[in-house]
Amino acid sequence: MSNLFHNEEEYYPEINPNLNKFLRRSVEDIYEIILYLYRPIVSARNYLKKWRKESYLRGMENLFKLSDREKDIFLKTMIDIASFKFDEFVDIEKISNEVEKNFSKEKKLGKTFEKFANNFQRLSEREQLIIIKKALKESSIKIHDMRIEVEEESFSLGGYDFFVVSQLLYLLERLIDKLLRLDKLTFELASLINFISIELLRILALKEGKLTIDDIYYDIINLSQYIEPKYPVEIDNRLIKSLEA
Amino acid sequence: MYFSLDTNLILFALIGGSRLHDSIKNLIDESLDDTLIVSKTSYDEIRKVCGKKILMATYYFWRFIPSLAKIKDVYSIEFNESLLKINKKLRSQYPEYQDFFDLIYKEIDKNYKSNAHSLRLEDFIHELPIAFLNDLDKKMDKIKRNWRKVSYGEDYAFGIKCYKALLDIKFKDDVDRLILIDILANIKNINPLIFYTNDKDFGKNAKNAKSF
Repeated sequence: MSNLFHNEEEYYPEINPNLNKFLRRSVEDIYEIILYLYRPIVSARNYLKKWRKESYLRGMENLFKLSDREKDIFLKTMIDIASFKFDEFVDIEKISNEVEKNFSKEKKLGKTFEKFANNFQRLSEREQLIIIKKALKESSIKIHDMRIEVEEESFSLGGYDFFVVSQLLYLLERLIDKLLRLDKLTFELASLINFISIELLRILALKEGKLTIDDIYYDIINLSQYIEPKYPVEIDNRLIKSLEA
Repeated sequence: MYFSLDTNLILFALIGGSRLHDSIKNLIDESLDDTLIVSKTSYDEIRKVCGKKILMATYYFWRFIPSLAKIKDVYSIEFNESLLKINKKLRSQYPEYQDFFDLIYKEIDKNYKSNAHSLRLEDFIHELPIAFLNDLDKKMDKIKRNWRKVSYGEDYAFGIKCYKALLDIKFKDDVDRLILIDILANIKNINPLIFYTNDKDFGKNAKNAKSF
């Protein structure tokens, strides 16, 4: 069985081997972003200290004690859940719940993850929002760094795959920018955060051979509808007509 | 009253001069007070068709970014000449994307130059597919002011019931099945509804599904 963290030479043939190498390097970052998004409390030690609630993070050191193999099993289950095809009947809420359940099921850290979730609920709504925004900012920095790396690879190595992944990462950054402007906890905020996590898992699914670059292309089309363009363009009839071909 | 159109009929309505454009436009214009219901699956399919070309054209252009980004003064003759040269080269290499390359050229000239001091060219290029797809909503507004998207996701519980009820019906593909589920899952709120299609098989399946 392949391992997300190891087996340098093992990749699925239909995936660009260079992209595969990038994905392997990104597993650790994606693991951390998933933690930030599902357990935002882990990104906010300074705030909790300021609010004299540092005890809410008891057990945090264990998060970094998970071996590569344990992280691998943890992520792979979630990748399986997130690897749906565009023409499947998909219940996104159910998928999010299943990903969430996977946290409690983790052998070593399940209880810690549950405790963090409960502690987060004990915070006031204002504090929760502050912490969610901190987690989103941290995630955005990591996603941005990943994107810059993909872009550099796309220029030096070429390949449509790199471009598609960089476009998706750009959209995730833009989506986070949008969420950072929200001033209260809303259903939209929660569901779009789930969306971002699922998209990151879907990028890893490429490496596992569970999805293709076409699936990611479809995600780009879908995700674009949640984002207001910075520079509106107008599609003239000539362009529309060329779509017919 | 409500009416709905199959994916390709919406595409005909959007694409001026296409085969059934005038007939579909007449149909829509005659339904003046009725609301056009568009299945989210259909809408995503349309976005997919339209998005594929802009994304490919953007990718072809993408490969020239390093050479353009090297030129710091975007108002210089060197920048303009390089931009023109890239456009010319791409137009001859991929003629089916000519209009899209012209759009990219125009947008860089119009919107990128004035923002170049604070914006990476890569980020500007990533914005183009978003803006392009976003304009489709406006095009839909033009063909019918009162239109509404419906998705089975609005009521998953009922959506799942519809999904199960249609399991025995053999569809051409899963997208057709999802279009019908989008409509059926919302039928309580969009009744009575007329569904137009030029696909015989789909029409037959939709009739069978009606009994459910």
